[in-house]
Order: sequence, then structure tokens, then C-alpha cells
Amino acid sequence: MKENKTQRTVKISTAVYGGLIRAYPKAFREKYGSEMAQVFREQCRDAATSAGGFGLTKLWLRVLLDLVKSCSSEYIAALGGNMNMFKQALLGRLWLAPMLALLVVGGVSAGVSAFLLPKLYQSSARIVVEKPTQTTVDPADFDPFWLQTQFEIIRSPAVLNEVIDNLSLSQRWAALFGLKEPLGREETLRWLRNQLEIRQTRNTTLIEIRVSDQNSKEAAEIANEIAAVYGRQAADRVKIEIGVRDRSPKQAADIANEIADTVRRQSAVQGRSVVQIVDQASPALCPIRPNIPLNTVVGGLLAAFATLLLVLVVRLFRKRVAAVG
Amino acid sequence: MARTNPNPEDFLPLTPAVFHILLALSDDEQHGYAIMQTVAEHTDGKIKLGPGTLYGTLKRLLEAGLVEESDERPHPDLDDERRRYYKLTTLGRRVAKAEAQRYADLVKVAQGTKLLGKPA
Repeated sequence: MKENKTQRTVKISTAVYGGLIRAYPKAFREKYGSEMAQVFREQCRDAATSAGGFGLTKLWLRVLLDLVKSCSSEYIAALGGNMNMFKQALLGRLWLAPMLALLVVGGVSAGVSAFLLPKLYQSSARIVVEKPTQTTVDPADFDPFWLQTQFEIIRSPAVLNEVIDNLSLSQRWAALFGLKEPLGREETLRWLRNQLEIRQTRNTTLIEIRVSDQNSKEAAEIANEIAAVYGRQAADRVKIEIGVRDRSPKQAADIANEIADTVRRQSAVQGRSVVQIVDQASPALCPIRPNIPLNTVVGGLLAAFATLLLVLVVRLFRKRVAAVG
Repeated sequence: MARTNPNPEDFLPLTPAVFHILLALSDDEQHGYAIMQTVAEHTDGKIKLGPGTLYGTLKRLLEAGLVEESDERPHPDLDDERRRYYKLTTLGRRVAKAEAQRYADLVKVAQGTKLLGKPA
């Protein structure tokens, strides 16, 4: 299966490169085009076999830069080393300048995305939350915003501060910035909230806790810890709410403590909690950002379009000047 | 282009790509991909020629008479007979030798300075 995929990738890459060779001057490509395609096919095969997709990406980046550089040199050489004639050639063939722009900017976008932009990984833990047992069938007891309330609880300082303490995030993130003192509580909380996304899994009551981080392991660790802390707190809260309804504050507090202890004991015995973790978060293998293929295509196409407009404007301007002259 | 007896010194200094290709062909005739692999091997992978640079340089070397296409073709069972093999001409060998000597002289100069220290 993997071998078939590799063969297919090599075949597609070779076909694309075969098309790109058309950018070279005719005399050059007629003499060396087929050999260049053959060499590229062998490079592709070796890169795909030894380093898979990563090897092929690196090869493509190198080959695109090589193509732009050598193609320009061949045109300048074919035109007797005259830059003005090179410019004429670029303007004379409508597709040439946009194609070169597509290759250059696409290649640069891919290179910047792959090697310079910070990578962001995302991990998600999924939990299912059992609603508290209804004591009445009164429709007024139905809470349509129950799930949204849970989202806000997960994002609340009560949950997130405990996560920050348990994972020593203030110290860890301070170290990332080279600070000796831990980050302030508010700042860490703000960072954590920025990294956090709570969603409902479509057509279910499952809650998905997504955490984005430049460290894939840390993203998974934080997502799992949030699920665990929320689960512990929810177990207490749900039973306390049932127990303290219609009581005075003091009675409520006493009962709440007692019930909370009972729930902990029962949960331990039954091996069951109010919140159950359905999927543990695991470190992501691929980053969600930057999206290298998207950046390459968008960057290349925008550059090609802008260059095409520029060439058309320059040609129109020259025609007008010639007409006036 | 067709000078009767060109002086190898006139071609110097060579660009790194040209010198590495001449070095790759100094021991034996090779086809394009083998030249690429030899150059990468000689430089510990620091120089990886692309197909465009390789054939653009080969074209100029053929025009300058430093390299020529080999008439011999490998047996079809051993290799793809469509491949073209390239080899150094006598002039190409003299130019490569002159460039190597130029580098050797430079290294001697560098060794005489504090940069590399004097040889033992």
C-alpha cells in the first residue's frame, strides 16, 4: 500500500516537473529536457524512499529554486546575456512572468512555512457529562443552555487555575520566554484561555476540549488535565446542587460537604464519575499551522495573478506610447 | 570558441558547481544523476545540484570544450541506454588540474598565516 502511494507520488511529481521544464528556452529543453526529467524522477524516488513526504517536500523546494535560477540564466544566456532582451522575453510571453512569479513566491512561501513559521499543534480530549437527575417533571426545570453553561465552567478560573497549578504552567511558560520569575496568575490564565477551544461534537452531547500549543506533548497534557479537573469538580458540584436545594446557607454548606464526601466514596466504589473521559488527548504528529500546501498555492497564485496584471499593464502602456510616438 | 590551444589559466577561477562537476568526471565518465550523487558525496551532502544547474553547467562545459559526450553506451541490461554519459576532454582535465593547483596554493598560503597555523 505504502509502496503504491510512493510510486504514485513520484509519478505525479515527475509529471508536474515535466510540465515545468517547458519554462526553459526551447533549444535547451529539447536537448536536455528528457534527461532532466529522468534525473528528477530518480531524485524523487530516492527522496520518497529514504525520507517519505518530508524528503519529497525538501526536494521540491530545492528543485523549484534551482528551476527559477537556472531558467533565468538560460534565458539570459540564450539572449546573449542582455538583460533588456530578457525583459522583452518576459513581456513577450504572457504566461512566462506569472509562471516564474508563481514558482518563486510559491517556493518561498513553502520554505517560510516549512522552516521559519512556528508550528502549532492541537490535541483534544472528549468528555461526556451526565446531567443531574431531575427530581420533578416540571418543564421549567429544563435548561436549554446546560451545555453552554458547562463550556463556561470549563473556561472558568476555578477549573483553569487548578490546571495551571497542577502543571506548573506559570513556571513552564516563563521559562519559554527566558524569565526567571513565573508568569502572573492573570497572564497565565489569559494565555491558557487563548490556547483553549471548547466545542460540542456534532449531533452528540460530547464536549471536546481542544488545546493548541507549540509543544504537541504539552497540548495533550493540558487538554487531559482540564478534562480531569473539570470532571472532579463537576462530580462535587452536581451532587451538591441536588442536596442543597431549598436549604439555608449554613445547612446547605453542611449538607454539601457531607454529600460531596459520600459521592467521592460512591464514585470510588462504583468506578464511575459524573464526567467520563471518552477520548484521552494524545500528542499530535502533524501541526495544524502553518498549512504548507495552502500557503504555497495561495502565495504562488496571488503572485502569478499580480504579475499577470503587471505584465498586461506594462504591455498596454507600451502600446499607447508606441501609438503616440 | 574553437581556439587552437587555449590556456587552462584563462578559465580560472571556476565556480564551485563547475569545479565539482569536473572533479566528479575526473576518474570516470558518468551520466547526469551519477554526477549529482558524486558531487553530494564529495561535499558530504553540502552541495546538491538541481537538474537545471547540472545541465545548464554541462551545456556551458560542452560549449567550452571542457567536457564531451561519451560515444560508449552501457549495455541495456546494466543501465538505461537512453542516458547520455559525459567525460572530461584533455582541456577539461588540464583546467581541473590548474584549479586544483590554485586551491592547493591558496591552502599553502592559509597555512602560512595564523588562520590555519603552519604545517608540522
